[in-house]
Amino acid sequence: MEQFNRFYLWGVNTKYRMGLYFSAAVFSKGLVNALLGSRTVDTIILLEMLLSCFAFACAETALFPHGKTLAVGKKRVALWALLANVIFIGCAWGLNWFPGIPLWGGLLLALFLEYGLAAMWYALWLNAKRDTAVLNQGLRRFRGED
Amino acid sequence: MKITVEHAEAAENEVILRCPDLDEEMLGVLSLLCSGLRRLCVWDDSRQTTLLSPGEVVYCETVDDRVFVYTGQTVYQTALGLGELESRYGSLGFFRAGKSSVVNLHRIRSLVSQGGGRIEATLETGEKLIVSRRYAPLLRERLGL
Repeated sequence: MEQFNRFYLWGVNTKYRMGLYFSAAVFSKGLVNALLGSRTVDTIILLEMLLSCFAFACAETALFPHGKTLAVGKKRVALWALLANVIFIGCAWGLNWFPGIPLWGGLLLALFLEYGLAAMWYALWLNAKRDTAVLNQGLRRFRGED
Repeated sequence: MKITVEHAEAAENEVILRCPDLDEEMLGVLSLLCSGLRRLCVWDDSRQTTLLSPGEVVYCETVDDRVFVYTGQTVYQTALGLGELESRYGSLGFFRAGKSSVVNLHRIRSLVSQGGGRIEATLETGEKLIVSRRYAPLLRERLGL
């Protein structure tokens, strides 16, 4: 039962992460298609995106198990960013997710990916910084310094 | 161990420990007596006992079933367990930071929020101590957050 519960929690955790990345991928694909004048998105591409997002979410859950966030070790964060680039840029290029897109458009998408990754890390860093300030204020108050 | 209670005319209560050597049992008795005085009975490598004011303690940790008490300058041992240290001196700022450590909140220089709900405490000695995920919420509560 314990094994099942652990697996179930892992699945729930991974599913949320997968959903987050999948929505970003679908948004990018939809935007590019709309700009290229298409009103449809290929089902196979959606399926490929879902599977690649699942693969990345699994890797992310392994790198940052329950309770560990991007605010932990730099090596893990670097590996996480590298994996995101390899999986998403690799799949987009290898599986031709954005046919007909010019080179500068591809570079712009890659930049969007980097921006998204940096934004996630920055949000956690900002949160930790604010929490640190609150903790030290609490400590000073406890010692009667404030 | 033989325990004798004598009733005698005296200006103040007196406890005399008579033993050939300060063994573990006697050190335990000393610790118990001193905790009532709010002083912490500790001893160093040469078994020289000292009565420490809890305020002098920076942190305590267990290593191989022995409890070490760190002040700014010296490392001592005590017969009290971490749980006892926390319960006896908790009101004086002792806080359980992890399974194997108790820290004196008054001797923490700063705190840093870490990933995974942990908190890193930088002590006055410059040493860093991690408040584990389990104890971090209790620390926040203790600090009134």
